[in-house]
Amino acid sequence: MAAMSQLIYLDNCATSHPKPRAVATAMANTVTNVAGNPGRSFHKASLAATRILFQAREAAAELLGLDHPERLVFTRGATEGLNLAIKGLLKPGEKMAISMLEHNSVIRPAEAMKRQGVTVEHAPCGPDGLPDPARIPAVKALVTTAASNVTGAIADLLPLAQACRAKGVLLVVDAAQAAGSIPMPAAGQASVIAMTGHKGLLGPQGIGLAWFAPGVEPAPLIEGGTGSASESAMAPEFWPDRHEAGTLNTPGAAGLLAAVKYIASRGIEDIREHEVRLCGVLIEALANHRDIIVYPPLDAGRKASLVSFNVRGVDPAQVSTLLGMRGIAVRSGLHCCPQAHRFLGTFPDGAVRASPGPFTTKKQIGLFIKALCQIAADR
Amino acid sequence: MKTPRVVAVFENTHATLKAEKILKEAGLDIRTAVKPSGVGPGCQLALTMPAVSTGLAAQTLQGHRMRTPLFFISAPDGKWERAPEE
Repeated sequence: MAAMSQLIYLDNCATSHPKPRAVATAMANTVTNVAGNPGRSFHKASLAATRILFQAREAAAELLGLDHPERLVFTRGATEGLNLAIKGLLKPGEKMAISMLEHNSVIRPAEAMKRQGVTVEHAPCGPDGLPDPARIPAVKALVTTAASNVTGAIADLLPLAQACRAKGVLLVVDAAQAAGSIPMPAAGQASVIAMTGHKGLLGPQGIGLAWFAPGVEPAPLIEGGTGSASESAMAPEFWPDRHEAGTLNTPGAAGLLAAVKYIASRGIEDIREHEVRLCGVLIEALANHRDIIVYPPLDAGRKASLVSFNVRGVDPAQVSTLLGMRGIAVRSGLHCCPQAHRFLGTFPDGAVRASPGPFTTKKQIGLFIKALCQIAADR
Repeated sequence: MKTPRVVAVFENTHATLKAEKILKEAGLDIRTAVKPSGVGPGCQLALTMPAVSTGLAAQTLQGHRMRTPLFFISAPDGKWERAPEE
């Protein structure tokens, strides 16, 4: 196994690597020097922790263009935010719709709600597998990925949000693969945006964010101590406390804050341009290889920073193993997203996914292409 | 004579810290404090400020689309009572 410093890391859709240096520094500083429990005691150490959460929430809301930062709650990741939205907003007898490309972080809570009497259907979708704004179904909530983790297809959130609002449908967006790496000017037009901190937002694992538009009031997923309204046995009515029971992940928030500051200073547009450029190189090289099948969309400017492919006649697991032996990290299989692979026609074996990140270099992409071509030639 | 200070109580910690930032940037004499016992429900963390600043504070916060906090002042008997906005 190659040392991490030598690794050609093309698995940024699973988790981004490396992180901006300031992330680890901020986390270490928090663990070492900020000992307090946020929002609880208000001595110097507790207040320092409280301020980290405040600053991280405000900075993330500003980066993503979301009003009402208090409605941006910390979660463990996009999965928890999506569970909060799906389980907290839907009741037995109600209907929800999903796109053709949803991750298991949507499929599984939806399936759990189905067993409680919620009807789950597929929304009418376009050829890219994403909901068609002209055909919004009559449901309580429509859940869509902002960018597919398998195909990379990007949802056009503005027309979707407008169409959903016109029909009184809540638009729930899984922004796990978009937040921090794809500009989302219409994010604040959605009803819910759920995201993780460790992918495009470049923060640590174990922390995420979920934003709910004013008037969208899910039931809490968990209840417990919040350091506020302690006289009541009920969860506080106010945000963010209503959805943040238990001690929060302050070191994670410190890391996320440092990451958000990095992105804000570099610019999401700059990161996006860099990743589009690299994906363009990848697509051009792989799509022109007779033994490699690249899955659409093939326009790097219209997809997230990933390329899914297969080598004809070779198990994708074998391809990723062979790449791994050459010090190249990719992900193969179903990517927790069997539905998208059914849509692509790659179920049950799946595909290989290469996902460049903000720190990937063109040289690394070249080495990856060379290694993959060798594997295809040796098959 | 010491200027009397009031306690400003917000709905939650986030609002308290946001108000602290806004009011400090506006040049008000703001300090964080633990909300005294006997001051009604709300966030445990509070801000204190000179009693004469409450009107300006409320106005400044409204300008930032923030709700006016509840202001409390210590009565001669030591109990806390709602303070009028100056």
